[in-house]
Amino acid sequence: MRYVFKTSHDQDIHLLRHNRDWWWYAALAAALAALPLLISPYYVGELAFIFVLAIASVGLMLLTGFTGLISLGHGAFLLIGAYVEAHALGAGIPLPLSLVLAMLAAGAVGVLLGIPALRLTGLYLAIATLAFSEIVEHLFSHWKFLSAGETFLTVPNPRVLGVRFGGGTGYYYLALGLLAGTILVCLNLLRAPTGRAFIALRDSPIAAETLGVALARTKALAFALSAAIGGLAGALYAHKISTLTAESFNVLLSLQLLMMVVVGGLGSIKGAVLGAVFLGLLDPAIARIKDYLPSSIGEQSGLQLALYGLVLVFFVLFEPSGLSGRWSKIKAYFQAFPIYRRATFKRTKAYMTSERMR
Amino acid sequence: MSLLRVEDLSLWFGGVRAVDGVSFAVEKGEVFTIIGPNGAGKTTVINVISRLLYPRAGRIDFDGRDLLAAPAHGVIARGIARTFQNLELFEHATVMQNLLLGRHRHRTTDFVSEMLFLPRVRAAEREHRERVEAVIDFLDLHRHRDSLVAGLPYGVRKIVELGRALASEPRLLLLDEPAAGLNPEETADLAFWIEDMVADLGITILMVEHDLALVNEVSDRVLVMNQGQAIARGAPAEVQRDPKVIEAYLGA
Amino acid sequence: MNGLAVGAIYGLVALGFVLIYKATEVVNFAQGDLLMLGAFIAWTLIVPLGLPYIVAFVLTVAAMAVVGAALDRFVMRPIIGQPHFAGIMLTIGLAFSIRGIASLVWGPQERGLPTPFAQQPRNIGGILVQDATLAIAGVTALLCLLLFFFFRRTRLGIAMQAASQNQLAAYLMAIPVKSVFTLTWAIAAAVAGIAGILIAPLLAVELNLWVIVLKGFAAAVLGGFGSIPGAILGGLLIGVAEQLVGVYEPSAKGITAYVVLLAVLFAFPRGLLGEPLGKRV
Repeated sequence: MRYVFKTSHDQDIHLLRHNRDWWWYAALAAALAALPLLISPYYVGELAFIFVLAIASVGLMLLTGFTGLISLGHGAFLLIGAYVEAHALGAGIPLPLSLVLAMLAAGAVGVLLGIPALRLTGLYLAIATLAFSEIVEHLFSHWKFLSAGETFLTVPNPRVLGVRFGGGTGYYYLALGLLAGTILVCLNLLRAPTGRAFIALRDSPIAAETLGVALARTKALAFALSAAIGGLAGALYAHKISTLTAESFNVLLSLQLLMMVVVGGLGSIKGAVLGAVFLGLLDPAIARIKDYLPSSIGEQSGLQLALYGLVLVFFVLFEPSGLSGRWSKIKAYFQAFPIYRRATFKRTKAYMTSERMR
Repeated sequence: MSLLRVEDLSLWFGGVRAVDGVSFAVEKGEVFTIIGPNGAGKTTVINVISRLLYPRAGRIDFDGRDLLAAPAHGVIARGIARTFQNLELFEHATVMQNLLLGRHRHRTTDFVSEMLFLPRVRAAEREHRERVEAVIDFLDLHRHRDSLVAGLPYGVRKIVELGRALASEPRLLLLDEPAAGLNPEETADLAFWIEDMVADLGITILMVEHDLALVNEVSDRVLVMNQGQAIARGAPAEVQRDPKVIEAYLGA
Repeated sequence: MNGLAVGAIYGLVALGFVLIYKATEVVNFAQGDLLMLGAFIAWTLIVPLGLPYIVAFVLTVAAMAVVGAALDRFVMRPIIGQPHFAGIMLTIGLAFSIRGIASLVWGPQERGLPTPFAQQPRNIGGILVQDATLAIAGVTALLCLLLFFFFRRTRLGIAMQAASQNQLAAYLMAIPVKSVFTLTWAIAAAVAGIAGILIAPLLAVELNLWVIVLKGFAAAVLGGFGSIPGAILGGLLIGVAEQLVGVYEPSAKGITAYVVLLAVLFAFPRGLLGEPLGKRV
């Protein structure tokens, strides 16, 4: 292991444990900034899409990975964000403000869900979020007022600082910038009392209460923040797909987001990003594979579903700490070489007692 | 005036009288222990004081103010911290994060400034960590500072939970079977810490305990409960000679 | 009448959940896909292979039991003891996998499942009732009775209850907890298979049958998540509610179940016949 010799509290508070890591992240940032100049516009668009997915993933990770509240209907917040963005732009509101509105709207609905959800635990909350997102999707596809009287809503394509938006390099940099900002904000929260309160809520709500964490307020805040981030992602997503139907934000999207969080590794912001990258690369990969398979198997939607399922099962069974966990283990291997022990990360056997009273 | 005054406390779970008309007072600076056979209602009393349960009847005054008026998350602001019989640690967090959560009631920042990590948030963080260092020194947790709680041995985890409670700078500390599962060495350490907490930190302790050697060593006064009722109280030695107490432990 | 028939199916789906949940504390998101699989297997036995309805029924149930047992033995067993989230994600993964593989094997087109029930309703005491509805009601009632006796009166059933309440204690009492889980999954999958076959007169055999899992949730929650009779009751009530809503406000029919679910969770989370939740500290 690389040992950190600590001489001040600031080292603990700092975002990165080792100062050398700054160079790596700077290099990554430089590479991502230079990419649009080097690769074709198609790939730039794909990468921008992955950034958007990553934003949504980080939002869900905050709620599920760090606060322990399982949300099976996060797509609903993206839906709200997307529609608000479309309406706002259509009403002539400039782009940055429309994004803020999207976030506020989604966040408000998040609070609305968070407050009654206070009394619900784990499984019940998960099911409630699922029902909630179904209702939201239904409302948006049936209420003429929300869909502006169309079966689909077109998203305006505004100019920002003189650059045409939708799908181009402007979109890429905006998505990248917002992703970096979102990650920074979340990391800040996590090294401060609010973030710790989230973790406390996840690991032991009872102890959290006895330490002064107001469960109600904290849950509502977690929902609000995570929903607002989802709304932001949804607003950006709207520009990518440019015509909105409520069906594009159905349960499958919510479950894809959940997959990103699980595959990436719960309880890790890095994991959220890795999960989004993984899933973002998986779809095009499936499309490629399809061409090489006989037509009976190549029928795409079935293949995609089956692969999603198998990936999810694989990760839960064999890589429970996700990609970020695997990455940490690989790093530990190289740092401890040649005295690495596989048992370092083995978990002890656990027996579960029922949480039911009877 | 007593620091904590419990009057006529009663709590029923269905038809079972878990706590039946229990009254006692804890004076500032003393170590007050509740003992009794299993199922006597001792932990229930602690749970009511920390407001995780609501009593059917009775009154609890802390520092002259009605404690039952406080919500569960407001108890610590009044100055009461607790540990749990079966440990309620934050398993997937480090020891440091657990201890820092003990400081939550001393939080001075709001989530907006935390999102931006303004300088005053940084200053507050440094302050919290300074205070937690004092706890780490006191309980000798240096080695485990950055370890994930989930992998630590049982004895260490009990100490972490104690540390977490101490980090909140309580005036009254509720300890629920602090010696359970500890070996003789660890129990001896615990006795020292209890004495130090009272002498150096000015903390009053209300504890539930089964280990009678420990009880005798550290307690100023003892309350014996059986089947929800208080059956004897006084100094440790005299209480253990009381025939009612002996009968309660050995069974009629 | 139709509402009750659909409701009974919802109840059966909910029954499968509740069985698995009571035993393993895992919510099986794949229950709807198991129903779909059962329907497809039954179709394959009846249409291309030409077996008689009863034979296909029995074979499907047997096949589904095997599938359920296999899923538990090879996929769910490794995560015993892990927190709830792992179970949820795993069953979601299973749901996707089953649906994806079914799509690859059978293709996306809708199919009808031929049944021996008469198309004409018969007149019972002045009410017109479909034969199919009677069959659904009858099978559901029979199943409930069987399960009731199994869990209350047989040693195996009582052992299963023990395993569901305290795994460690059950192990110490020489109850083979893991085998109990596998058996539970087998039963739940068989129930899903039965529901899949019975649903045939009401809906076509197609990939989207899995959505019924959401209605099953609503039924289970309404009835009280740990309660077997509650699951059936919840299903029936939701089926009827949907039908009523469909009469007055057809566009809202689809979300009736979800609104009911949310209302129950927010107002009285225990459901109609459920158990209190809590944790002793």
